[in-house]
Amino acid sequence: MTAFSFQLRHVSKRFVKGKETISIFDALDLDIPAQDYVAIMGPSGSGKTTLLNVLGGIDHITSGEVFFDGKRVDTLNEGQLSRWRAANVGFIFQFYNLMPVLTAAQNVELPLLLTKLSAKERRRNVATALELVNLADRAKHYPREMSGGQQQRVAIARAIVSDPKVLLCDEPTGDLDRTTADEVLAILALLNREHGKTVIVVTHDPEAASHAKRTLHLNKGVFVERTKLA
Amino acid sequence: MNQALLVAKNLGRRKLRTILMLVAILIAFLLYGALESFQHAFYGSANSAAADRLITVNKINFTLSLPVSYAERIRQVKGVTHVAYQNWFGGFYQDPKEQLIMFAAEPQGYLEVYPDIVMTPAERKSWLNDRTGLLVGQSLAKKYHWKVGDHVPLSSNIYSRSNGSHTWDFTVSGIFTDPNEKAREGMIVMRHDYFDESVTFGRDTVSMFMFTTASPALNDSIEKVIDSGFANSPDETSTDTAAAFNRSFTAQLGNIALIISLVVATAFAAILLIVGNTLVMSVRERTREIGVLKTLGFSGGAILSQILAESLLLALVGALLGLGAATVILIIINKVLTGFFGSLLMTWSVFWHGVGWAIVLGLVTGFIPAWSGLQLKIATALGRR
Repeated sequence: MTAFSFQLRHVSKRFVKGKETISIFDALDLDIPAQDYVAIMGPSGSGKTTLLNVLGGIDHITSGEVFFDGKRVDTLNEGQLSRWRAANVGFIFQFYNLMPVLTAAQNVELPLLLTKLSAKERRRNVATALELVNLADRAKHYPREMSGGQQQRVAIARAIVSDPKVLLCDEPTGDLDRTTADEVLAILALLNREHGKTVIVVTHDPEAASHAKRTLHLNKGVFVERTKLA
Repeated sequence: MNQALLVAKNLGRRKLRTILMLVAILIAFLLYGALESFQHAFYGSANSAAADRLITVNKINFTLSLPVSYAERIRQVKGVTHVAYQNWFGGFYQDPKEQLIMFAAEPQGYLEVYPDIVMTPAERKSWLNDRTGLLVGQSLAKKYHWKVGDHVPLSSNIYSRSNGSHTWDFTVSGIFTDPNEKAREGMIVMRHDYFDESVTFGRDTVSMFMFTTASPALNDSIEKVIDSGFANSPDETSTDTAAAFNRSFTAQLGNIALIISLVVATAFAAILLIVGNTLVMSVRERTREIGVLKTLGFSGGAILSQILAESLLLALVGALLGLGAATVILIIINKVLTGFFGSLLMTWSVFWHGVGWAIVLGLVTGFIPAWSGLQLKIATALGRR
């Protein structure tokens, strides 16, 4: 029997803007098995970022059901969602979103402040995460002292330091040059392949999508094409 | 790293802005600490008089004198236990600009009416026996480095002696403390007989009578008996409790309490607006970061606590610096104005009230940005909608 990270059933998402109601997607169904690596592509306004928000529990659906590991998560309140995110989901953003006042190590340590780990255990986990992204020597550097690629690798280390099951990546290579983007994509592939993380990447970049096991094309809230890579 | 470090790091991200906010808070609490201490000393000394002690002065104005012979009639009133009288001397030591709080008092009665004055029996005996003896409050003795037995020339800017001089020679008989009326420790008391025999005018008259009663419950009736007894005489009297007299004396300088409260309230209102507005701007600049923290799993409550902790830390550090600066300024003023307002020092009461106000300031200024941080939707904060 297949274990699923996420299952979406008849999920609708609408926004009310003034007198107008905008439907982002309607009756969307989606299954993402555990340890999958999925790329979600589509034009601007197709709903892919909103879909990522819904999967990460940072946006509420209008109707339908969202399951994670077989349990409904769309009914959780804000506090429960915070705890669920902290335990299960790592986020990687296009613009890294590191805290400028914290060093690389301190940025990576942030999610661990929500755990009961001791300071020593936190330091050990941070060191491991930074080694995994080849940035052990940059632990004490501030974001302004690092290149974009290095900052994104710190962001990846922050996303994986609490060992979540899922990584949600929003245009993770959108702000990087090709060589640096490839380095970041290689790390994501490694995390999926070697560490069993479910990776979901929203991207415009076909090259970035090509690293995924499969690609979903979203347009106007509907999956128009599903590509399975060999 | 811990949450406290995160708070400190956030405050340190724009150092100049944080320093300016600290300076603003420092000034507010400097004003608060200095003015509240002044008010405390001013009204504290007015209210600390014993409940069974009464004062009789001239009904027209306390600067006008009364015949010394009234002492005997007051003593005869039922319920009156001890009677003393005194004259304002208007003294100074060497420098006429440094006015002393100095009275010429009848010694035996004075010690009976003010039994809380603390000095050695030898000093007490010395003053009662030495016509030129002087009692000096401890803070004043420290200021001028006077010791028991010192010979001290003091001058009056009101009275002159029959030899034309304005200066009297004294011997320090005793140096006293008064735990119940600290203001008294800034005073000097000379003997009335020495004063009365040598002045060129105002003999056999006094500024006021001080007396004690058998019970504070008798105060009202004794006041009426005394004042009605001297009614329709050339020198009518006004009798009141010592505390009430002190309050009415300080009231003549204006409603100091109201003025101080208005100054402090205005300073606080200005600081509230400045710091509150700056914190709102500071949190708005960090909207995306707050969104990221929430994405990582920090709850709304954790964000709220963090922003409140920042505003509280800022307010407390600023307040402690301000209260510290006020303490230093008060120590300096206290040295210059020995005894004028009792002990013009920062009291623990003023300090802890200041800390309390700092907490209120921190909570009030932090509330709006903290609440907006709590309410912030992640998708909105990250600009993902």
